[in-house]
Amino acid sequence: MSTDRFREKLIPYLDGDLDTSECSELEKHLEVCYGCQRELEALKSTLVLIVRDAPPRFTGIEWQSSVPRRVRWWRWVWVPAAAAALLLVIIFGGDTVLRRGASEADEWLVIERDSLSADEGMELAMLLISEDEELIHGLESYEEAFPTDIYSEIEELSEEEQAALISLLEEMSKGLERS
Amino acid sequence: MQDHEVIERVKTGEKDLFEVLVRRYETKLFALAWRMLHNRADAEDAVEEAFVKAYRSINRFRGEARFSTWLYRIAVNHILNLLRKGSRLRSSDLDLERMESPDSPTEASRQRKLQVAVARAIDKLPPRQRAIFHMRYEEDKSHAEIAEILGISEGASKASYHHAVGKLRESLRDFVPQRRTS
Repeated sequence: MSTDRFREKLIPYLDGDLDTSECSELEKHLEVCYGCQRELEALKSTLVLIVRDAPPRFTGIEWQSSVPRRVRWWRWVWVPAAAAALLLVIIFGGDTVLRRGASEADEWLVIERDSLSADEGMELAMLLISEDEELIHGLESYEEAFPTDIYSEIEELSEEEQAALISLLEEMSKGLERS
Repeated sequence: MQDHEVIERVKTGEKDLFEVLVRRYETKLFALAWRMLHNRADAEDAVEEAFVKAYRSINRFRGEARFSTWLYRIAVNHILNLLRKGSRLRSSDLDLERMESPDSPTEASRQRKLQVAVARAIDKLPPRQRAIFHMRYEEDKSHAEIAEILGISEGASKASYHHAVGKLRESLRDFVPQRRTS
């Protein structure tokens, strides 16, 4: 085996990812190859440097106050809200504007589709509005990937805007249930 | 109290007990978030938001994976989404070159320069690779668990980690002393 091939195995070696025979072969090579010895030491030294960028002191999150604030208004409506919002995104595509009020200037929310393909979105929408336990279980592979985008938009709305949005989405979800 | 016991009690109405899980994992999640975001305030927000998502979804956690694996999956995906969106993130805490004083190369300034170099080397890694590097090297998680957290194969986790180490080696070449080997 060439020195280059041995050198390629140094990182897997440090990671404990070589089998016994590969380990033994590499260690024999290291006994006679100063270049690989130096590279192995350099890799170890590089990894030791990482501690120089330790995270700052962390005092903990304020859990008691944060949960009610963030969860309060949407926990009872989040499934239909997400489904309705997502379906709107799918229906209209790209930038979706939900409007409520007398004039078109009353824009409550702009949702940008930026993380899911239409097929993925449709699949998720079906999961979100389903009451099938198996389908809902399948949601676990999507649940962290999708709602963040919607909710991070929603969380930045004022309380008045949130209330209006919930009301609108409730009407929409009733429409979905009827259809 | 084991995680699964806490979760069962939370599910049956003892909602306040969720805080036990928060205190158990928040420091580790903060370290992960810091490694991926390199901004203290963003990392704190991300941890809080990840716990809110976990709390909200707790009834759908069925114990097929370990709670920590499930929680890490939520946190990593949440942080990746934040990075993808970008708009909500503050600038990196690492943009501190102006704080260095090149005219007075004291030990403190040398150390600071090294810290910035290490942080920038890590920031050059793609976000998912940063997460993998952190979980493997700094938390000593197995590739099997990392793969489960990220929904990738164990081989992909290994390959990504090995690439990350190789890239860090290149980025930090000037900071690694050349040692003689007898």
